[in-house]
Amino acid sequence: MRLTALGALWLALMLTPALAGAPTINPDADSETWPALPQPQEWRLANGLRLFVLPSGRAPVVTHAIAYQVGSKDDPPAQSGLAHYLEHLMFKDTARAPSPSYAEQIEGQGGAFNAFTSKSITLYYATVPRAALALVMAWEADRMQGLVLDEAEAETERAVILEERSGTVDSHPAALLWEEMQAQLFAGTNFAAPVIGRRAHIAAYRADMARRFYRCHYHPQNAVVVVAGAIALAEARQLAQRHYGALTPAPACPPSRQTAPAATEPLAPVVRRDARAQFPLWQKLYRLPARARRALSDWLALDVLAHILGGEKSGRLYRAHVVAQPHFTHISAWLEDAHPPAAYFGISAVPRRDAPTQEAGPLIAEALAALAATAVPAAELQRAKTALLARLYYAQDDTQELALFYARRLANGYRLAELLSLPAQLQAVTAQEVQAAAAQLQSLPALEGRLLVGEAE
Amino acid sequence: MSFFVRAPNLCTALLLAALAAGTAHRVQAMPVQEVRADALTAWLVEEESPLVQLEFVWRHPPSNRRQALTFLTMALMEEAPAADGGLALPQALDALGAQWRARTTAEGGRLSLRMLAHNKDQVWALLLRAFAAPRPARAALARVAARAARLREQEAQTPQLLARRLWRRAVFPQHGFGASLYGTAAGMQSVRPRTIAAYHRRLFAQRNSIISAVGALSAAELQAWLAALAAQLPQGERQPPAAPWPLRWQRGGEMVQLLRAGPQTFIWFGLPGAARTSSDYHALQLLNLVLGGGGMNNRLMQEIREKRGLAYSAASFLRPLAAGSLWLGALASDNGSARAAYGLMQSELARLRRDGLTAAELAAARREFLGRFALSLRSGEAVAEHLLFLQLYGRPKDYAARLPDYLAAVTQADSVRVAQAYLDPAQLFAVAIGMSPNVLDANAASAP
Repeated sequence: MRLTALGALWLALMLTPALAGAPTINPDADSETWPALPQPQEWRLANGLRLFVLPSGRAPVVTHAIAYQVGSKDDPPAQSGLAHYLEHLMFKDTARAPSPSYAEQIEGQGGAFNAFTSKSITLYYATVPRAALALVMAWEADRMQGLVLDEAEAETERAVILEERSGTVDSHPAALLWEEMQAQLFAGTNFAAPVIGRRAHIAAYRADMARRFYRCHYHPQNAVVVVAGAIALAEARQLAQRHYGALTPAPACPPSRQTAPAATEPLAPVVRRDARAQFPLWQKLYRLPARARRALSDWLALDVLAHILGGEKSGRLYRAHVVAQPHFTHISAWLEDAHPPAAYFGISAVPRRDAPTQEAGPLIAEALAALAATAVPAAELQRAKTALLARLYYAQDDTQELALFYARRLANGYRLAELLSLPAQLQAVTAQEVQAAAAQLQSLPALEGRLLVGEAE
Repeated sequence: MSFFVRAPNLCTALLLAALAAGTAHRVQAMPVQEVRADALTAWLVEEESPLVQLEFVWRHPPSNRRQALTFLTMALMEEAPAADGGLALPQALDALGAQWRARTTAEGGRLSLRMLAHNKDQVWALLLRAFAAPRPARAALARVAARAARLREQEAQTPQLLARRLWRRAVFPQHGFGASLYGTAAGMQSVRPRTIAAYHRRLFAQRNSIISAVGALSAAELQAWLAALAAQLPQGERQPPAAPWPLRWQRGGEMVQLLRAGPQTFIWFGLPGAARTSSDYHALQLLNLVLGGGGMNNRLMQEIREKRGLAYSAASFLRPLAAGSLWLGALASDNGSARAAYGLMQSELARLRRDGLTAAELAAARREFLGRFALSLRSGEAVAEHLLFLQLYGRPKDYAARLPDYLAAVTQADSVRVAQAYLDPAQLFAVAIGMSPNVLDANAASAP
């Protein structure tokens, strides 16, 4: 574990991180053993709240993350973006709000907080001086069930969200293309609508909609708490018990509607013309079979495939069609596996202006066919695994990144044990599994999207 | 979708020193070691870690021409000739799990390199290869020029980036800081391979290099690394600094609007600021924190977003570059309300200028500033960047330990004096992008 370079003061404030039982992995037989990664400890409070504590880090700093297993997939019909709206309202007053407010107290000490909503989770996090951890927990416990949801504040926040949508989506041609592609790829499911919501839906939000949603989804058995940083296991556990232990579990609401994607035949391409666009963009998304839950290991061959095919600057597509042939300025592939029921594999490319137009589709089909036909050479496979494994180590550099790494995955249904065995499982991926993943992609429903420069017709 | 957006560079530009936040402890000085080999110097913080983080900057006085050359030179590092096994540099880095990020900034070429401690010597050997004198093929030059062209297009397509670009070009028409970071199409095309070879020697000259390292690396190890690098690079000269900003601020009271379709108008505004070495610097930082820095609880966010819902984000920050300092800010509001939102910012600026900070506000701002600072240095990457900036801007190694004194020295009278000197709403220059019918009136209303 790293110790602080910032002197004796920090050392004195830090507690010894618990590293017992950390896995030892040996990703590359001819090099030294990679160091062990620190392991979080897991508890479940009597009311169902799950707590993960990971002592780590250089500074007397703690990140607290609380993720609720609710996201835009749970938005009621015609109320797209409601989960995100509530995320904003969670920063408003509670019945027992102190003065100065929790937010003012935290920022006053230099702490920082934020939150985000995704398709399946809503996550609130704060990075604070160690001594302020109790304050953060008091805030989170208070607002889990004690929001006032005042009408006037709800009105103002609705306007803030319209501004957010204007600035992050409606001003950006590529973001609008992306929204249309997601709607098409997941048509008929509760993953089709944008997380931020459609403008008409946002404009119709009322405080009572948020209140119903809040009562349904915000309670301890739906929450995952991750604490990472300069804190001892026992202390974090005691604090959590003190602040969260008294919260009462709420009755479960009826499950959100969940429909299977209808279309399995070729999906009609999305073409968007935008006079504001300055360069064309091409994308292709392959929709993976919907599953309620997946083991992390299900994804690893696809992760490795994405890196081999579309690693930034090192992947086959980049070497062939950016470097060897001047077809594109950029081409990359990635796997979006955060939401098991709505996972996809994506490829994006930006054509070179100064070269003859080359359709991306056939070039990618060709690269994919080659990967499906012939097993990847051992050295190329190992390179991809090493690059992916290294990311786990870089995430350890920052307690905030570390806390969010765990909180996102745990709240999305992955188990701690499988996260801890991630390095070993990654090393176990075979060339045959990567080959099979490439073959699988070829058979999946896929959607092409294009952003074109020019006036809409 | 996040709850709010932080100001563009609050997390990086404020990297200063360390204090156990929440108390008034004096900070223990960071054990920064200076390591030299030939004419190279690096600052190092050694610590127990599975990682090593390296940061580099090679200075250039900015201009369209030099930024184009720096962009090409930095990008061509990755085109280093393949070694054994025929791997290109990005592939060889993958094989070691190392991560590489090269880019061009107003101050010069920047490289960040992070690596795993257990194969660090192999990564350093790869880095040495990337400093080999370039013999770029025309195809490679054209490829990098095409990437630069895409970045210029990305800038033109994104209101938040375009506004900054237009702002700088208008404020510094004769100065290199008005130039494009990605060169110009014509400029890129005119570059010949031998021009790159000559520029490479100047840019990467030992005396023009600033280096920092954090992590599992001893001074002796770093010294050996630097000696190997120095053997490959000319001692050369430090490139001359950019000329200082024009002393007379010529755009005061102006706003320029670019009409662009969309529901919202984005506004980028600014004033001359205080340099890092100025005695006004920390007072201005504290004033800014109260006005539009930090997170949610500053005056701009409270007045514009929290009370009225006129914006998702309204923020301000200091951008203290080597040649001069700017105080900058941004907000975006519906076309119908952009004028009102900008007017609120002007009013808050005027109020701050008139009143300065109360004793209580000043004490709270000091405490928050120190706390943010301590938290910002929580990663090895952040500490390495901090060490780089200390060198680039001529600040002392023990800046961290001195920061509480610098802040304590700011008096209430200073807050009024510095606000008067710098934060004059009548001197604002702004660029607005969007369809607001009347945003220009907001500026005219407060012009002298």
